[in-house]
Amino acid sequence: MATLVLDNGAYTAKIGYSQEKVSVIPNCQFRSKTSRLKTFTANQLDEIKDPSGLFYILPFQKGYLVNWDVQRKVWDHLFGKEMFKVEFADTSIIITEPYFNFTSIQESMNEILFEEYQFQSALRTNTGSLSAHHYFHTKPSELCCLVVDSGFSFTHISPYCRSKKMKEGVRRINVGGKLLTNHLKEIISYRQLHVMDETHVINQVKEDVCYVSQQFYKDMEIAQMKGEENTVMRDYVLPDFSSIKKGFCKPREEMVFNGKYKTGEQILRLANERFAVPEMLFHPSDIGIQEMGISEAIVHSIESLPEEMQPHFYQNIVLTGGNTLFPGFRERLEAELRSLVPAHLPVSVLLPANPISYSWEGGKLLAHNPDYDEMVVTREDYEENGHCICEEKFDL
Amino acid sequence: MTVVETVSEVKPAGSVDSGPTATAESTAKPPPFKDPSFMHSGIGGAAAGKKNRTWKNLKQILALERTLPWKLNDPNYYNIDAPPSLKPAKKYSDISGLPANYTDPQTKLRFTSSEEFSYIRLLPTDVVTGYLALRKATCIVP
Repeated sequence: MATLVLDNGAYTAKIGYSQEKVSVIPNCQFRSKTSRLKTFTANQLDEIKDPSGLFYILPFQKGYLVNWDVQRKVWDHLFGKEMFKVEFADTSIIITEPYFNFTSIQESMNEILFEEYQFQSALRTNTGSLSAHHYFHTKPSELCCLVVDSGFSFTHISPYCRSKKMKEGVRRINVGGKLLTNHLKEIISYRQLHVMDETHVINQVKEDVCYVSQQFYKDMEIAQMKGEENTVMRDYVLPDFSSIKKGFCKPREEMVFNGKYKTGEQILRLANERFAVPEMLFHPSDIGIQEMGISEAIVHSIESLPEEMQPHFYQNIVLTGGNTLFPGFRERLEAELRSLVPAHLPVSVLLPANPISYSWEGGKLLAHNPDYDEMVVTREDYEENGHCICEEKFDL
Repeated sequence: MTVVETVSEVKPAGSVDSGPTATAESTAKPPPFKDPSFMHSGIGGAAAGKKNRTWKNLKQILALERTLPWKLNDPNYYNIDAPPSLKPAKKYSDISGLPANYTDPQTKLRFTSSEEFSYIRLLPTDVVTGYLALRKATCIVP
């Protein structure tokens, strides 16, 4: 029997069979400005010739799966002939959902997996549980680990002790990649160029130029300087989707500091935006979100747990999710934690090689676990006992 | 059971609309936990004719969740939210994003320099509220 691992994120789905490699695919549908009537699903994104003004139809709202019609279209595409060719009657699925997912969403998920797709068996779990499984698998001597999952909709901090989730320590910060992209989009629109319809392009800008500052005020001073001295400033060439397919940063030698470019490309000049935007992960209160930043919330979470466990958590912090890919993220978090945590406790923050698919890899390991067959709910079980058996078996 | 599997072979990509699923369920043995007399509103009830089943939106789900009999210390969606920060918020200029030491008492916009101040005073009200909404400061009471 094959096992399909699906880390069903709000922006990208990480999917693949447990024998194979992971594919990261947009978990949404698109409409483009040029071909208005056609809807593109998931990786059909590559077929769109002119992705300016790209419109997203997302199955998730604030990180929770509510738009099932879109989700099923995406899944139909992923499970179908073109992609994974799933034989539902002979396939087991590992699927992820957010912490404390709502009961009605969980029940809809059961119904769709067992009654509509008719998977042979399913295991629903949290993304963090898979990450923790991966972590404990690579470091079997460790007792505890703290998973920081900074994704598209929000950032979750969840402590695990011997692969058991410590529910009372879970914290959520309502800052995610989506908020960062939208904020960058808005400040660029106010300050230089109207880009409110260009989420896709600005997301690329964010991924290309943003970084986490180590010394915020020092970088701010540099960003205020004029001309060559301003080492933070970048000129970003926007794509026009005919000769420039993908936006890029102008190399420093080619930058024109005074006056205009003669080449006629569309340029975004970014200075303090580069680090002020990711700064929101560490200080959400800067833009009026009255919540703790990541480092404060980590300390808050760990301090709510039994005292004898706390040193273990500080030593085993693992970062997952797309936002952790900002350059300097790990260093900044480690430095901030160091100043908050008592001096005699060692602090260590691990950024895995691929934080986006880290939990998927955990799911892959779980599928090869000898106890896997006991963790799943089979279709026979479900048809006999319904939602109760899922509620009993799955730790959500 | 065999009936169910043949149905799934006919529609390998999974049935999209609720129509074929309903037939699959009625030909197969319905699971014992389902009400056998239940008729889905999309098939025979009020919303008949509509192709898709309607799903609760997030607002409805959140409202429903709030009514559940939670105990004070149960972790759930509402109380895993990180509490307010103890650190003071940074103050940036709304115009340029640079650190701002001054606030315009009239528009409540923050600014760094006198040039920015004169620019602020020229802005129409809708742009001012737009700038304030960016940092969720449109509310009059702070």
